[in-house]
Amino acid sequence: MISTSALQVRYGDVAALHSLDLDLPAGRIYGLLGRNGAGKTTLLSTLAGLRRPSAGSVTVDGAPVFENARVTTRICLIRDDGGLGDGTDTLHDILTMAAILRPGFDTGYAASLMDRFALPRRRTLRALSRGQRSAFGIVVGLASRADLTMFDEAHLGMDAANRQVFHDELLADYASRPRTVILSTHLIEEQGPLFEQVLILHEGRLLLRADTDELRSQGVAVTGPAGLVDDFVSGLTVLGERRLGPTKQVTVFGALDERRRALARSLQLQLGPVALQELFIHLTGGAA
Amino acid sequence: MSRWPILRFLLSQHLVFLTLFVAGGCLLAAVVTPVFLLFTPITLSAVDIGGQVLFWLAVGYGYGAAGMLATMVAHGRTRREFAVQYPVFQLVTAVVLAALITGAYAAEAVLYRLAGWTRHLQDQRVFAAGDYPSIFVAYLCMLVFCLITGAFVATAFYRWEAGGVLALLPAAAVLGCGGAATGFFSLSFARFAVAGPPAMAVVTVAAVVVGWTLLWVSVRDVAVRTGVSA
Repeated sequence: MISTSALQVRYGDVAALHSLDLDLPAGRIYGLLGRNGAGKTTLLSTLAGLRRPSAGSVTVDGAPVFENARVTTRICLIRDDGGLGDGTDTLHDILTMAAILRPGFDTGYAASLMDRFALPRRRTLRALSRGQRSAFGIVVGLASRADLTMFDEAHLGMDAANRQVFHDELLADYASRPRTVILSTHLIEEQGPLFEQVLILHEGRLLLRADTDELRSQGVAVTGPAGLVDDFVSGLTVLGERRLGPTKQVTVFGALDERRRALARSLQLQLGPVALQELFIHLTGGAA
Repeated sequence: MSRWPILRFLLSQHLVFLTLFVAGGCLLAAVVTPVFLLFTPITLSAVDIGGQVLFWLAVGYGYGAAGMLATMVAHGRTRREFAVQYPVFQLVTAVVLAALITGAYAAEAVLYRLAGWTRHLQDQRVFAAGDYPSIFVAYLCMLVFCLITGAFVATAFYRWEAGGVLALLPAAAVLGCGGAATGFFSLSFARFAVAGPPAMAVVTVAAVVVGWTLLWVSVRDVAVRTGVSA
């Protein structure tokens, strides 16, 4: 169980996290969403012990995280800005270092992931492309086999094929070795299917926490002839709309009652799940 | 859990690199020295001149401590582990490199004797050409306080950014006093008589205590930079 109690982090006069209370049961994949500056990186780095909370506490299984090697060695945070080694280190050297420093590091698994991402072991970190650096971070993150593994925008620069490899490997490894995973991302639709539960941070506060399916049920996508759809959604909170010829799809916020569902059936309108991204944009204040 | 992981990593990787680097420098000196014969008679010890560079190289290498700290913490280790194990690594490194350099002095003495060259050390040295125990202690002390000085200056800048400039004051004091005591950094206004290895060791221990204290103050709860304001 990962817990924060009245967690605050301040940068000088600026509060990045406001008194955050959070209990995350172990063994699930969490999606951490939030707009730029919402406090996602600050939260993850505090959970990983990279910074001391300004106030409040962070514990894993009841033990404090900060400066507690018994806990921090069970936590792995892969950041978008690297930090795994010096730019002059070769990937081979960094994997060697990780194997020495991390008790649970699986060298064989790291080797197979290096092959899957076609990463050159003798090249230095500095010589890699942005996408290769991200892929290498994912190799270290997965092979660390940490009880709490966090990826903070770790996919930046990776092409679609490698992002798919990441998702496949994450799910396969999670299935064989269940642990807690937190994915912080702006690729909401792409990574959404991985999430069991979604946490939305907004301006340093926890705006929403819900199971992914439950969150999707907070909105409905209505599809059908444009005129009928417009009449149907009149008076509802519209999150977004798309049009293809005479057909229109409108996403609305809030669950529909049985009367409206019956009306939709009678009008032969299709009702479907809402896109997480549209809900997220609505919940965090809408598009600018 | 494995014990002393940071130390084991540094000894297995960095110490090997540093030893090869210094050994390579000694071999280079052995190769280059005869070339100077084409232009001038050789009267000075090449190792002694080359060894002077180690003073600043050690400070510069020590400065890499900040990046090392951030990497260690990112890999799940603690600042406390770093503050204990990194100085031990520095001490072991200083012992190994001082022994290597002392061996280079001895090998050079044989080479010069065979070649019939005269061999003098620089005037500011506090040891005689054949006094190998003193050579070892002088290099050991110099490497120790230079490495720790580079480390605490680096971590001070990492923690306080521009405010780290204040660390330059104790750094200058440590380097000035330690340099004068070991004969590697002799400023006209900071010369004092030091008699032999025991006194050098005392000055070095004092410098290390100051350096380690400042290192600990800098790293004990420093935030690792993560792309948001520290």
